[in-house]
Amino acid sequence: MTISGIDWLVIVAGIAAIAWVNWYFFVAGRKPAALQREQHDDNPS
Amino acid sequence: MSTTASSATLPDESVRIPVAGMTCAACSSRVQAALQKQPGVVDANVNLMMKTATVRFNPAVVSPEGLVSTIEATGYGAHLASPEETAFEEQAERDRVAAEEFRELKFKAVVSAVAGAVAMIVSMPLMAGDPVHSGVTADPFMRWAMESLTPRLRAATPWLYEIPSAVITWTLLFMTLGIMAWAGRHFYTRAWAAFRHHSADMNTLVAVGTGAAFLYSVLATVAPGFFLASGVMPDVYYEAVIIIIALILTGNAFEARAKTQTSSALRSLVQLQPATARVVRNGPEGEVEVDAPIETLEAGETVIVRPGERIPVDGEVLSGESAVDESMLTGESLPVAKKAGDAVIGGTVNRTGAFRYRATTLGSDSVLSRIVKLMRDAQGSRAPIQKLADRVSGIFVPVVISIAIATFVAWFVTADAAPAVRAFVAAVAVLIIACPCAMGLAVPTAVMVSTGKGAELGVLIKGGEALQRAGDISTIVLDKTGTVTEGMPAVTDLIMAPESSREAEDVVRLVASIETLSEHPLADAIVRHARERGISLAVPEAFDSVTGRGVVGVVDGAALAVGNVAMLADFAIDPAPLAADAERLASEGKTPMYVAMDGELAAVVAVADPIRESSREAVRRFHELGLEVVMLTGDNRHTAEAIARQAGIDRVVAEVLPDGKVAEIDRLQSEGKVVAMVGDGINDAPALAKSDVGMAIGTGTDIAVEAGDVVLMRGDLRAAAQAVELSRRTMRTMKQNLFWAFIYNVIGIPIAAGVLYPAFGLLLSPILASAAMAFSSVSVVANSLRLRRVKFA
Repeated sequence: MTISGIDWLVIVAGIAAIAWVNWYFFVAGRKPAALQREQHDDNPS
Repeated sequence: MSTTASSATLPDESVRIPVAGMTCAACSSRVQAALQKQPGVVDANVNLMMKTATVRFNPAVVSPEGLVSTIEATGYGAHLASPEETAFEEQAERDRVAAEEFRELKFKAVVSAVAGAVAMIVSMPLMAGDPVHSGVTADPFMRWAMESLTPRLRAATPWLYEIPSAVITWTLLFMTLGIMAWAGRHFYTRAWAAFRHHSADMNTLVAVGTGAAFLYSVLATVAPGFFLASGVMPDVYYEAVIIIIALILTGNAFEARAKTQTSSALRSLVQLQPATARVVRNGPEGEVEVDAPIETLEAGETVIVRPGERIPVDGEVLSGESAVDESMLTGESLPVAKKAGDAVIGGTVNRTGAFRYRATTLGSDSVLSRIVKLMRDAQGSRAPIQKLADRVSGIFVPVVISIAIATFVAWFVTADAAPAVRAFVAAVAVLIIACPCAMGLAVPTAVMVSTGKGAELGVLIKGGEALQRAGDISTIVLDKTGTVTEGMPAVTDLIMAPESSREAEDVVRLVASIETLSEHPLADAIVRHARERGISLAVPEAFDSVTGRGVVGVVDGAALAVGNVAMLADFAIDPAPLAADAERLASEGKTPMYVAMDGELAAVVAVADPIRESSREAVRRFHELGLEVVMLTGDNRHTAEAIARQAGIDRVVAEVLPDGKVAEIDRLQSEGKVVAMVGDGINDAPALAKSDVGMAIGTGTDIAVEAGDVVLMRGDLRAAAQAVELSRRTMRTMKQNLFWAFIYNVIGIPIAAGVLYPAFGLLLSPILASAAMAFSSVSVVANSLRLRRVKFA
């Protein structure tokens, strides 16, 4: 089986999409919560 | 700084907020996470089944209105229930919303299904000329549609095949757009709201799956030349989008209906409350009987109940006699006799005679209202086993999206024909077949059905945690008085000391007089014994109750001490003259109490508390369930052992003080045993609290609803065995549900991705995937509903 240029493009795009999905839902989602908690700890009022 | 100070001094408050639009565990997790992130929130618990958020918050930092806004920002509806709203009204409102939700889902599902069928027929001519659809399709559903329906359709509607493809595809485009915007709108709006919060749920999968299929089809409709130039047929999947929406809505409607059934027990309880009461009120011509709405009733008013009528509110009988059926609240099948002075409970049914009674507790303080509230809280609570499902739901959807992308890439790179189409169809099938809903429903539906079933049996289980722990218990500890025995002791013997100069009747009079001030059940027996014989009692001049020993005091100038050997020892009185008699009485299961007067031994009084009819059978059931049965009592060893022998109890711990009961439970727990304690909700409160599962046993209408983890509404130990059995069956159902929900996804997702294609040439269409997904949720709820039909010995 030979892998064409468009196949390589789809593979790279797929890996990038998977990376983005995981970053968006598992990493980026936590940042605001952590920031909010920090702010809340600094100023409990 | 002032705000900080006020926030530190203001106590936390708690509020229950009804939340609308949650469909799966990811939804409730998202609302819960948003609330927990909100500054000022101490704790938040969002329940999917009850559709409520219970939030503990600091009122100086955030208001209830602010909490509602936080929930609304996540894409769900929320409103503040009015503080006056009773448990009855809250349930009625929840039922109204559920009925409306079911009606709407059903209507949308039917319209979408009709539209899907039309779209399917109209799409047939498009598929007929397409090699992917007509020749090499590996989907059994599509193959069946092509092979069996196409020839018949062509014969029946030849004109359909004359319509130009472009007209058909544009018609389908607008039809699909209409269905997506109307019937499927909530999938997209909720998915978007979740996405903005970096969260994903079932709506995300449906929205991404159908959205991708729709966009692909729009491109193929608008620019078919682009596809043809790339060597790909411009296939459209409009019919798939409509049918997927129809099937998922159908699944949701079935699920909504089934979920409503899980709270049927709570609904039955709420319906016990009559709307009106016949009250005696003052009119212009003196006292008149009027039918008044129960909301207008006030404590102290006289209510009249006739045979066959439901008792409207709690109260105390003033005149008349009757038998009242309390089975709906206590599970006790035999009617209970009522006469003047007896308590009656609102919601129970008067059977034989008419009587008048004085209304006592009303509204949210009534027994029925407290039971409804307790049930509602229990049904809305989480079982610890839920954590596993929560953890998986939290990561499920992004992982499924990743698998769908990987599926697309794998098919695109490896497919021998039409790689883009195959890749696309398989990726959409993965998104559609994955079902986080079944995992979210696995535990809460079982908790709801089981707590409802328990209530029917007169067993109130206070939540998922108690339910789960009750299934794990290995040792059951029973209090003796009022639990194993009737709790209504009677005097059986009076033996005078050989050297006593007192008359027997005089001893009874003095002992009964001092016991009038004692609250011990044995004291009641002595007082009743004296009154039944017409002996007039004196008022004690001094009285003291010594825990674990007895009572001391002065009556008619005589210094009295009534109690056990330890009590005599305190006064340095030798029990020897009556020790043999006391031992014999104790060995017969009676409780001997020494009586000392003016420093000398006067008599021994024996009181016996007969064993309950049901106790022997209950102990046999405990043994069948593999439980070790222990009896704890403050009584002397001989009495306790005699009762234990009669009941078949394995082990007895006698002569323990209330704190000794706690120590004994602690000791059993340190041996690695999971201990349930059965006792009354008042005297045994510390032991009930210390045990892993505290079961408070109710006696008659005196139900300590708030005590213990489990309340046995009738004074029958068999209910404790039923609680354990129900709990074990529920745990089994929860595990079956979780196993099915996990295994469904573990098997379904790879099949949708195409793992069976290399070996069997089998692929799944998104339409079949959506049918499987709808079925998986419904099957989990249906499995939980089986608990309603469980029969107990």
